[in-house]
Amino acid sequence: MAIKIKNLSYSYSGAKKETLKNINIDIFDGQLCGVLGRNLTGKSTLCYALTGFIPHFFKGSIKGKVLIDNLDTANLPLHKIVTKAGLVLQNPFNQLSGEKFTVFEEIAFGLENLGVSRNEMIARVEEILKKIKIYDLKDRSPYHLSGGQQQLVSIASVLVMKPNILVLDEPTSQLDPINSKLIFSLVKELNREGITIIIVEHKIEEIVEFADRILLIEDGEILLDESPHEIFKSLKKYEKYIKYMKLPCYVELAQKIEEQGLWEKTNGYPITFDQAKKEFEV
Amino acid sequence: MKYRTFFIPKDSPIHRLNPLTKLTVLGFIIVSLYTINWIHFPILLFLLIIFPIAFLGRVSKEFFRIILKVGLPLILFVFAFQIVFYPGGEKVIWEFSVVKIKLEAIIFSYLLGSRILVIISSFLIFLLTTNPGHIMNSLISIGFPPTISYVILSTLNIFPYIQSKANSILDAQKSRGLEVEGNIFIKIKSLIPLITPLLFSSISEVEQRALALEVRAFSSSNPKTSILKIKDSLPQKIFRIITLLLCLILIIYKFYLVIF
Repeated sequence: MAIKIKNLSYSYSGAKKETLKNINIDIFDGQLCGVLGRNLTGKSTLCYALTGFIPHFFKGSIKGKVLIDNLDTANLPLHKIVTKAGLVLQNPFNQLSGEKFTVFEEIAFGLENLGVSRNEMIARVEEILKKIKIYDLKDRSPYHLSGGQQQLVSIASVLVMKPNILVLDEPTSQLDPINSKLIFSLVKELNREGITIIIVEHKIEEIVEFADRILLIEDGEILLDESPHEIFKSLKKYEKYIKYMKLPCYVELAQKIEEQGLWEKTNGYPITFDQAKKEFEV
Repeated sequence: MKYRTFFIPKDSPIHRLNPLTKLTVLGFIIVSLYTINWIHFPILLFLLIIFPIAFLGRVSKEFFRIILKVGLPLILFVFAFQIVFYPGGEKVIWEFSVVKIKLEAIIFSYLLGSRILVIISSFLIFLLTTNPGHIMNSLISIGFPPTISYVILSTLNIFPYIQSKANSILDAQKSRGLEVEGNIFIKIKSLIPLITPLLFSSISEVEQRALALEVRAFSSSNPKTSILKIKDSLPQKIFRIITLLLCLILIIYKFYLVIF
């Protein structure tokens, strides 16, 4: 099991109420979890807990445990945790180290801190640059890139430390649709290669296409933990949880033609193009 | 964001020098400024040493642009302030109401202003010709803790960053109708809506920056390595030792003069 969260409750220092309330989640190796929820409901806090930043970076009152590869994050130093579970922040600009002059050096920053030898560092950075398809950016300044390119550099700079788990906190919130597609396709590819992924997103139509499960957080609690297929199979049951989100276009289309009596739901609403094609085929 | 640091990547003999060599020269310049008492020494140092180095480093254009834009107003301000408020001195050469301009004040202001010019210029050439990453690695290589090296480096980097951010905030405020052009009072008035968001947004970024560093194992206790290979040579090492010895001689000489 990649991550196990047991009865986790957390409140920030000085906060009167808990940001996370009695969270229990098991995330298995190679799973892709989409985390949905409104603003200020605890999604980012969950990301910090999953990557050890709670309790090592953010102090406060914590109950329960977070286990990564069966090791309690409270007992592991942060620099060990980041090699197991990497965190990608919302704003790619803020994730840059602030002291490197090229993309190549920027990606190597984490390895320098871990004390990796220069030759191994060069090999690993080159490998990741090729894998993420940003090799042509290697000599560019990380500050002179587009938002999408900066986010790719941020992901590369975390992946170069070879974590098995990648936690992404709204990685596309500051990006345009083209750059967002770029990040989503990379996330899909990384997951296909076996990396466990937890991605916080508002774009439900993107996330349900490839997530194994959807976690919905509301006021610090996990309200929903289901596969996307299950959610859209019994949409009426879950509608109250996702009513403020924009539904995938295939679901909206299916709902409209269902209203007009042109199509009848048998196996839930389609959420991908292939499912829609199969469902609507005459 | 166009500029993040002062560094201008070019191939020049000054760019190729080891950062420690440049830092040693910088230290020597500062020590000499305060140990050699000859009044024209700073200006001669500027004209005969720093001026040619800016050309040799192929950064003369940027060097003069920054000196004229930032350095000169600062020096003129210090100069004017010292002339008017210099406490001592007897030889009054011009008097108007309560303001008395004394010869000693002019000499002192000239010395202080020229020293500031030399210090700003030498720091500027160092920053324009040295890769920030090389500075940090060089400091770590001589035993500086990585945290302190990072603080020094990010401080060096912060000025262009703040300048760029201030421009963005200014544009945003202008689009909301803030008046920024006009006389000095209008300009001073426009500073408040500029400085307040600049200050608060910079403070709020501190936590994000610290988090970003920890995401990359910054607090790791492992000995840090470097992807950059900084060139050094025996002649440069010998030069650094000689320069440091010269600094020491100058400091001892200064104390000798003070005591005896």
